[in-house]
Amino acid sequence: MIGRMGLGRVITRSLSSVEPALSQKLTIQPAIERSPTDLLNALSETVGPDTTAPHFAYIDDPITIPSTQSTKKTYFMAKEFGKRAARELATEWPTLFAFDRDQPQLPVFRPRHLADPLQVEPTENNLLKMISSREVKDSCILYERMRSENVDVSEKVQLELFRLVTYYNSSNVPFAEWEEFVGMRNFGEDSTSSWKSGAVADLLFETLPKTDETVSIMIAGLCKFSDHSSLERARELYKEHRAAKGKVYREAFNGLIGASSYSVGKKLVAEMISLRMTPDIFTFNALLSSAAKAGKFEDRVKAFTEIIGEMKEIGVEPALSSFHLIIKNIIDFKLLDNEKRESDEQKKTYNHQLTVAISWLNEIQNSLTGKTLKPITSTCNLFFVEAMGIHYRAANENLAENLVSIYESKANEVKMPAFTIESMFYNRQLQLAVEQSASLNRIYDLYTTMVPRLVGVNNYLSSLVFRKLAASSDRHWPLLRRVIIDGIAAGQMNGVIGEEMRKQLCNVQLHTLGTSEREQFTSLVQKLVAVWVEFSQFTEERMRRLQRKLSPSQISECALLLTRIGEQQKAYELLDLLLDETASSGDEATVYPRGHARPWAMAELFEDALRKRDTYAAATCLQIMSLTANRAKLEPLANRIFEKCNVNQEQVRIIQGFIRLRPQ
Amino acid sequence: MLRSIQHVEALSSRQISTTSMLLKNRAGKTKSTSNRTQLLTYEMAQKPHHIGVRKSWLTWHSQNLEEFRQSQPLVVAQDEVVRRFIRGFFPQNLVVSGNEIVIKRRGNVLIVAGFLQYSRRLDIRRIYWMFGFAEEFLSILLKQPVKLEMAFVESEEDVAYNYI
Repeated sequence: MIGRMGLGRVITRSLSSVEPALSQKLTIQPAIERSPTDLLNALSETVGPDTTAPHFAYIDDPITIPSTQSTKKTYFMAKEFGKRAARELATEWPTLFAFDRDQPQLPVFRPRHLADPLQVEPTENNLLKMISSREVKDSCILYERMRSENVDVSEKVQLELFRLVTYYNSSNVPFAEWEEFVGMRNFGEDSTSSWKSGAVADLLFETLPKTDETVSIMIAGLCKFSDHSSLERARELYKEHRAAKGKVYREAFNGLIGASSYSVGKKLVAEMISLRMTPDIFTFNALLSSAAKAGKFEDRVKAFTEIIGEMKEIGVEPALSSFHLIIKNIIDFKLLDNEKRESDEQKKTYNHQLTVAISWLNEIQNSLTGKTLKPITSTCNLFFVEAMGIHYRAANENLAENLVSIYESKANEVKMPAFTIESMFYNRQLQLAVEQSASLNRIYDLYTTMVPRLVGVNNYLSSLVFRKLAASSDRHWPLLRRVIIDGIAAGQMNGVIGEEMRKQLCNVQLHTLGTSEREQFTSLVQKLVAVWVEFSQFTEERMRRLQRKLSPSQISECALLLTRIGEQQKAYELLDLLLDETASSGDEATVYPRGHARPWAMAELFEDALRKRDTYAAATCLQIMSLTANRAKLEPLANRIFEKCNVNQEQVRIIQGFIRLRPQ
Repeated sequence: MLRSIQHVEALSSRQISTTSMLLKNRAGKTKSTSNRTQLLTYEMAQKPHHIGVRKSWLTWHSQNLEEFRQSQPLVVAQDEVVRRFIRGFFPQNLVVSGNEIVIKRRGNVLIVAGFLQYSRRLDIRRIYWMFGFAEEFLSILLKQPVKLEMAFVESEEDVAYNYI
């Protein structure tokens, strides 16, 4: 009963409160039509790349994140070599890893030794297996073994082997084509080799009948690993085969064009067309590399223009690698080096060529904007780094930013290998932005998003930022702190950058910093001084190679920084080292015997001591200053000590005697 | 024959056992010290009945769920293999004797997480080599991708939650 009454009261109250609203009609909105992926898209828009995290290949822990280019390489390779060791172990003792529950069985978890060409049965089947797994040297050994054991090898298998050995010049697959170990692919270096004459490829060429295919393969191989004699041979083969009314394949033409001069290249293309072969992108790239050999700038530009015009004419879309060839070769090679441009004439020519290069790039970038870019050849990715190099030379920040937006857009599928080429690309962009920008805030934003994730810390970049900080009238503590911390992680503390760090820290005006910033300043100075002192104390025989002795100027700067953060005792312990002769001589020396304390630092320390009426500190400063100053300069300083500090007659007498003994 | 009479007498006399019962629940109980030096991590400090409330599991997989128990024993055995391998392979870097390694299974991937400490001779290249080796070794052993997601602390004290 009570419940019903209560309910009635609630209803009447709610009705009375909503009465005016009832006049408005309530309509339910129709549901918004959404596709099945709309939710996922919305979610993906909220998450982006974490610009503060390291690359995913590294252990995400402050101590294990690499900060320089060389540590990135070292750590990556260390991890890869660990993996290779484990695989080697599993290959050697497969029975210890025989936990076989996976369905389907995955061969990637069952590493096996490659068949030994000296042990396997000398059959065609085994040879074919080796050829299909691209074991070039092993298949050569097995083939030679089969020949010596008089085992017949069919023509078909011989042709397969011939294709393989000619393509790889009878040597193993280069690192660049390794699939399993990424580190070797990106960091390993292969020397470009010239054609191995008298190897299995030549032997097979003599054995096999001279068909269109074999001759074309041979010509292409000779041109790929070209030296003077191999090129001669390729040309002779081509002439002989053409004289015998044979047909040469496109790959052979491409090889010959790429290795010839531009005029010869054009003739070869005309011959291709007469054989009803339409040139493809590889032909044009070969033609571009032959055009790049022209000595004169005007000839090169004319040839490039002709080639691009021809490509448009027959509807071949230029690949990024074509643009790379143009951009790389447009400026005279000898003018690229800053030191070699001595005369005004040369500088003028260089500027003209750079302007032309920039206008070409502007056109190229306009044509690339909004287009889907796909990798066509293996050198497509090099376009971006080369173009960024030109923008850096011309200090054209707008085009550089445009290039980065093209590279980072979703339509671009051409990616540079991380840590090597990509790092160079972003390094140039960052250097250009830092050089051109006047705003320290912008530099800070760029620096924090790119270093050390994309760009390794390097001396040039750090000194560039320090220069910017020194030149700017504003102060930017977070940027300075970040560059110094990165410098510590990158091992820049000793040497020129370390000196720059101290100079910058001495220039910081503490009263402009906030409370937390002042705490950061204190801990940074403490850390830096502790590290420098520790480095100087590696006096034991086995540690001596790590030792970096303290220089007198370094000591004076460190002492100044320590007094600023209120650590007088530590500061004067350091300054005492300058007056202690045993600290700079003998095997246990921690201080360089040469050099002098910085006069401005000592003057500030002296003033500070007077302000505090600290006789001991003021006298220490006076003694250090007496190492470089004469009597006339020291006398007024001594008088100031007598004025400001509580000195007794005995002390006055000692100080006056000390001054009197200094040279005039 | 007569000599054994003595023993018969001893056996016949009844005695009350004063030994404490062994039926008590000992899990999650850590003996305290008089000077509070016994380190407890968060994981140790929470009692077993707090699992799923204040602390989580040390192994994450779906084989404990109803109708998902096709290979539960296998998972338990694999966990033990992984834990023993990590304990044996990183002996200098373990914290609390490697008792708190978390094993997570996500899809076909097995992720090993937890804390390690810096060893006496800190060589980062060595750490990377060992991570690469451990990941590849366990992957080949268990026939599934294994990833290490270990974080480093400076010393064992950094993982202390309480001292008793």
